[in-house]
Amino acid sequence: MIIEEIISKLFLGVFNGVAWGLIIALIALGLSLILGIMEIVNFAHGELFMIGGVITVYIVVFSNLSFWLACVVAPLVVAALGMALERTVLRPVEGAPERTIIATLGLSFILMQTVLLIYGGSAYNVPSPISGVFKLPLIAYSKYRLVAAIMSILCLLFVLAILYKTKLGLWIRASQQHLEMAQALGINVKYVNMMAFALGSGVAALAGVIASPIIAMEWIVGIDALLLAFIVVLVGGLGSIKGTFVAGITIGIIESTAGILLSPTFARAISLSICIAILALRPEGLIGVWSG
Amino acid sequence: MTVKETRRDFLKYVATGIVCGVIAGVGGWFAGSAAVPAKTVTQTKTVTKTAAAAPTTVTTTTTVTKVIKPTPEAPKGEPIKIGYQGDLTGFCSAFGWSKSIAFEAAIKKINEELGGIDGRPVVGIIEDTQTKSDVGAEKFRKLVLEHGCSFVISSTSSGVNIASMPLAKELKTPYFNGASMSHQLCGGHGPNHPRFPNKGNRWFVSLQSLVSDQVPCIAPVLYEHVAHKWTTVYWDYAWGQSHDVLFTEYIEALGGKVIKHIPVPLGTKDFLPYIAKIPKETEAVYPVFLLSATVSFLTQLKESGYEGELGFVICLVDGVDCEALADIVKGCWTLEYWPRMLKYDDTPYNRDYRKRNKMDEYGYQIYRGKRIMSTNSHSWAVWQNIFLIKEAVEATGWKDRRDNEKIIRYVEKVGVLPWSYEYPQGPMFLRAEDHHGIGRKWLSRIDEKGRIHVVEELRPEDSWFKPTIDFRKMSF
Repeated sequence: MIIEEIISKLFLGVFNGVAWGLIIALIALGLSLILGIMEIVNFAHGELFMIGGVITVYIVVFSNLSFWLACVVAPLVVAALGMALERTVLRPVEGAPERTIIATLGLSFILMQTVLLIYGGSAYNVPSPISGVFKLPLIAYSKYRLVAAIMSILCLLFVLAILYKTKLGLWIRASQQHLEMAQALGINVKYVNMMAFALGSGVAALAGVIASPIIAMEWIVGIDALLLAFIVVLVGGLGSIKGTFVAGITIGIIESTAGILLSPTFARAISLSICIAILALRPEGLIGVWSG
Repeated sequence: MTVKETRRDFLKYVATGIVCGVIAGVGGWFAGSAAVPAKTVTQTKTVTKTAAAAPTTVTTTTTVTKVIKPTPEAPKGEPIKIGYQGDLTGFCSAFGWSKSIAFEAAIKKINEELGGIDGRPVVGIIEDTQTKSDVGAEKFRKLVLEHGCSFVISSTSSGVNIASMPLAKELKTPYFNGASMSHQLCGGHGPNHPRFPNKGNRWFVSLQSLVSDQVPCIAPVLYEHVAHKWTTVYWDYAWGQSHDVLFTEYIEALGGKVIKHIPVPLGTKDFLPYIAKIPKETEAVYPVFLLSATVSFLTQLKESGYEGELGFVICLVDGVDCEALADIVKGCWTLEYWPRMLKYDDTPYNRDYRKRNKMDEYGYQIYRGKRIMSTNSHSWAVWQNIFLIKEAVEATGWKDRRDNEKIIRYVEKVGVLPWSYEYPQGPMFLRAEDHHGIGRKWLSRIDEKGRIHVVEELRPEDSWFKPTIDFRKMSF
């Protein structure tokens, strides 16, 4: 009986860890792209996630429209916002890491306070578009969370398709590998940067949309997301897309199973300890730097 | 013979009419000012309720007599400043804005209709605590030292209240409970208890109910009608801990058992790891959360396949529209501190309060153009605090903050606050020992559409408990 309960909790931990890990990996994916290509540590990335969730609240809760509409609208709006931010805020300070850190930190505050002003300080829950649970022999698990995991995987495949099957993706990878050489070969690096920033922003916003039926959306929700995303990017390997996903799922499963079997506070301590150990053994991260 | 009225005749009639009107108006005004006696409203209310599911039959007979003074002159002189630790952001933010409306409405009424406080205008100042203890304490200091507030109404968060309590004493500022509910604010388990000692002091006054008078009302009902084996799942700070310890004590005294205590850190977004800890033999869960965390917890509880029962105090769903959660909370028992639906306490006082607070008969309020569920079971405390301040200032001859001790001494001797437009929630006994006001409460159940229906009204004496502290023995 006790073993059965432990096994069922382990299963739940793994399911939940994969679902959450994939959402965190989506947020980290944009961060990793921007870091890998533009060498900018984007402290406002969590806010792009938050804005995606807030747009979902406006569409679903305040306007009674479809959740699936939010899945299209929010990433497009935030991608457009990302383009504008890259063009107006980041491009003037490109190549100066200290200034980009200050600029993105400032941007983070401005975005948070703007949302606070317009959206208010309250958190809102988005109703789940798919209700009910899957009942397996040992556990019952939310149908929506499984759909969220599938949506995250589809998004990853979409981003990989852009990177490996399109001309823009080729330019992005080329710029990531050797910026000067890419420029010398005629690639418009400024255009590539803007598109990469837009892509990263849109993906973060989609993560916000997917997360909104699971967590209540409020103006400060991006801070927590950013912290986890940074850990995932570091452990996965700076700029590595595959590493980001592997790290996201790994950290998700560790935190979730440890959280269920011990306590979530212990779980965070355990996952951070494992991350430190990984970085001590492999400073370049799980997959390796700039390996794509 | 017909008389044809000329244009001149018509103008004569108009001019005569205007002159007569002015004379009548001026005369009436003088006569009215001199002769209109103070309005006296006498209300006699008899409530007899017998509900099939209710544990007892209650008959309540209450007679209220209230004298409303004639409209006085506009206030003048040095303003009296009242501060409010508003939780405008953070996990209590819906409480913050709803209570801000009550705060501003009470001050508006005092300034525009009641001639201010002791003839002086009142200025209300709101500072956002972000629902964080450290920020809240900092804002208390700011309200008193920078804005010059003589009185402060507190946050909804017990953490903010506890953090600000030493400042109230240091700055000798009466600190009125704006609806936080940890029992440690007014005595706890006693002054020297190792785990739940008193955190209040002589400057604190609570007109709102606390966990210590809520649990004795709800626990017997949940034991009798819902389940015997419980698991508590609660926010891990003063308020949630108060519920956990007192609910456990009461359920176990009745013969039941709390088989698992699951504290959840503040700020948790994903409740599934905690829900997974609920033992299979649990018959019912006693959740202690607020607002969006409530919605997340209940939704995720359902998604986890939980099929047991639930029982809770209204804090869990105050400010939450239960319609969307109806399939989870239908049939649940709860304890309200003022009914969400007007029809269960339909008095002129309640109607007046709701009108001034832009609240409809179902408990919805308009905020920033949106129709949102109010935190009606909590917000009234802010309104009543302002009128207690007015009453105390006028009764004691208070002039400035150097007289602040007089306010506390008044609170310690006032005894009963009468049911009135100023204290619309009902008659309240303000105890001298622990400065804790005990008023009416309502046992309610939620229907299949998510509406909350009163089953039984409880009188103040039904939730009476022995004070665990005597603030009068403390120094100022």
